[in-house]
Amino acid sequence: MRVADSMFFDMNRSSVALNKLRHMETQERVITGKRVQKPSDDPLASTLARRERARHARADTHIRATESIIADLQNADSALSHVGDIMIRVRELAVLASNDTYSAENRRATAREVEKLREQVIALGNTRGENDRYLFAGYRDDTAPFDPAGTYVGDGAVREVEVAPGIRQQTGVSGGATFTPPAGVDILAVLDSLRVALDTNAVATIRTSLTDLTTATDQVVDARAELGALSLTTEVARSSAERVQMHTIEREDQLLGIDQAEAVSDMVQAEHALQIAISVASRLPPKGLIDRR
Amino acid sequence: MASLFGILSVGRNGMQAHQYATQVTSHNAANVATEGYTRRLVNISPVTHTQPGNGARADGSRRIMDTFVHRRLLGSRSFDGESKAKSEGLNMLDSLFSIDGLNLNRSLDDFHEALSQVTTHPSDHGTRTVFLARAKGLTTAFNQASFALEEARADANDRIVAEVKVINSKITQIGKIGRDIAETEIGGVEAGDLRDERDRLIREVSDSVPVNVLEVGGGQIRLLLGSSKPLVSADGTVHPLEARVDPATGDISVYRTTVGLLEDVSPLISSGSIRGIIDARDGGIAQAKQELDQLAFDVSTTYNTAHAAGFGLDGVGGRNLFNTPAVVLDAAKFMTLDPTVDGNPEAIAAASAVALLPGDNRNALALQALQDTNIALGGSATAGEALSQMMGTAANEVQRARATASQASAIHSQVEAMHKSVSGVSIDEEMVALVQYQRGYQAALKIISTADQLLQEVINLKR
Repeated sequence: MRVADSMFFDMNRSSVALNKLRHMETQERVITGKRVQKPSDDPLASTLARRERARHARADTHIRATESIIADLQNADSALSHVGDIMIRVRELAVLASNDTYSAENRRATAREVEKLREQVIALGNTRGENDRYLFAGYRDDTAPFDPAGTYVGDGAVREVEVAPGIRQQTGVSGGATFTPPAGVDILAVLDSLRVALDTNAVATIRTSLTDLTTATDQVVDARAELGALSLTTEVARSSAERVQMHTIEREDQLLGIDQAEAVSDMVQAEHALQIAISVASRLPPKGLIDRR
Repeated sequence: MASLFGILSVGRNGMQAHQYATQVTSHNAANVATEGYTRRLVNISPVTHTQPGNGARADGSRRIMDTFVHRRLLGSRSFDGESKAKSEGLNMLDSLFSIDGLNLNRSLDDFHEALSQVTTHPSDHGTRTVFLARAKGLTTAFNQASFALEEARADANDRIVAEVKVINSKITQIGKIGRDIAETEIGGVEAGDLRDERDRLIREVSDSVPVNVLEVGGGQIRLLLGSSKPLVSADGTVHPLEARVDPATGDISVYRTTVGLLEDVSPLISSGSIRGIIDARDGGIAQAKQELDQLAFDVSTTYNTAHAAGFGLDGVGGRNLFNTPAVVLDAAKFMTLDPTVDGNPEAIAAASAVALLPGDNRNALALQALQDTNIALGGSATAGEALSQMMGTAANEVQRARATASQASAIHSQVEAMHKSVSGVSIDEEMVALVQYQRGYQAALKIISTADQLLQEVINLKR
């Protein structure tokens, strides 16, 4: 093939330009730590990375949701733990008052104490959680679930929230199911009837109320057990969301990131190639007949 | 019958011929770096009258060119122009779907996150306000993506108009140079520089549209668009192109008037940058716009239905979250919050029952569940998956266009090298030629001095 002089220049021009571009690209990879700078660099990896991003964002919402649930569960548990202590105290009082050595006077005094304790239970039933919401009210959480007389006026529902993709969990226990379950006893009614029995010195009624008091205490214990189980599953959901986040970060890095050693060696290679291209170009023009004359 | 004066004239002819040849060689060497210059070869031939022996004569020079390679060069430039323009036109899709920065991907994730917060704190005013802001952000992201695609389309149309203007100016020059060549070459000498100029212009036109050159003799050519429609006739008449709006699409198309009739010639433009621009506009960009509109339509309608089923804190139900798009076309462009909800966080329908306000979050949960529902692509994908698919399709398109462009550029350099291998100047060759012509000139001088000596001898004979 015949070689025209401009072919040398064309070739060197494009070879220097191409090597410069490659050098810049390899440098960009090392600097940014990213193999894929834009979606078209690797369409498949970019698509998969987008999915990981969305998964990461969703895990974020689950972590936030579980944090809020855990706070509510703790508030509810601490309220119910107080209620449990009160029930134990009331039962002690009832046992003492059912003793024949107690006078009517003594029983009336005990009645006052039971009345005070009942008021405390009402206050605990009206405990507020995050955002000032009543924890045992159900959906209508802007209204106190117990009226001053101790009647439950909440809707007994429990809100659910998503804690893992497609999995919802209760944010607490039902106030209705804890304080006035259909199959159990109305705790505040039990306390009130005990107070009445103490006031009226009805020893037989006081004795029979001991069974209801045991049932009431069990209801509180059961509710706390449920809260404990919920805390546990919420913690599990939370730590699994955290693992998902770690995994998605790792996965995205695998998809879009560089292998540091490989990227640096690519860069060095590109640098070398550019230097060669430049040193070849600097030898232009080739020695020819013109230099002989 | 030879004469001494005859020998003198042989010497004179030789001097003239080699002087001319040296001039052509110098012209070649001087134009070693001139873009589009075609090397010349001197025509030196023996002078023959009735008898042989009258020396040599130079009658002009001719350009060394392989018309077959030149035709391939035009084709490769058209392909290069097409693929480069297409790749450049599609590049914007990369930033549109990039997973970094504030864009559709991010906005959709943020929207879902804020919705999850509403399910956790359904009665909280602040949480609702954040959700409204995120929903607004999602509509803005759709608006902006739609705007960017519209912009790319308008840009493509502007570029076609500009390209057509440049083509028309170039074919006008080609027509004029054609007439100049015809006039100059009446004497039989090739007008090399004018022909170079014309070929250079033709090559430049081939960057924009595919052209064919038909030689009709006498230095005249016909320049065809594709292989049938003349842009320049043999007599130099120019048939300009016209860029105007195609009423069917609202986009710019390329027209040409044939016997008084306006004709859409864009189907003939099978390559060149205009084809690349049209392909990007009607291909990747238009597709992304269509998919974006469909997604905006699907998201609006499904979230609206679910939202209307619930109740706001004010106990009012049946309200939409987004505006209701009438048609898919431009759904992304006009996507916005429903006026009854915009600026009114209380209106967000988190509750399923009025009686259970404000803590009822069941409708918010139903809205949240749409994240995992196949609401897009005809009920075969979630909104997030649809977005991933759009991104994948666009990225593949951009990648393919870029690969084609680098391939086209490699092909073009190769053909360009073939062309230069034939027509480019080689200094070495010219140096050899220079030595040769110098020798020829020296020989002619020697002939003259020899004839002079012989004549001197003849004159001295009389003494």
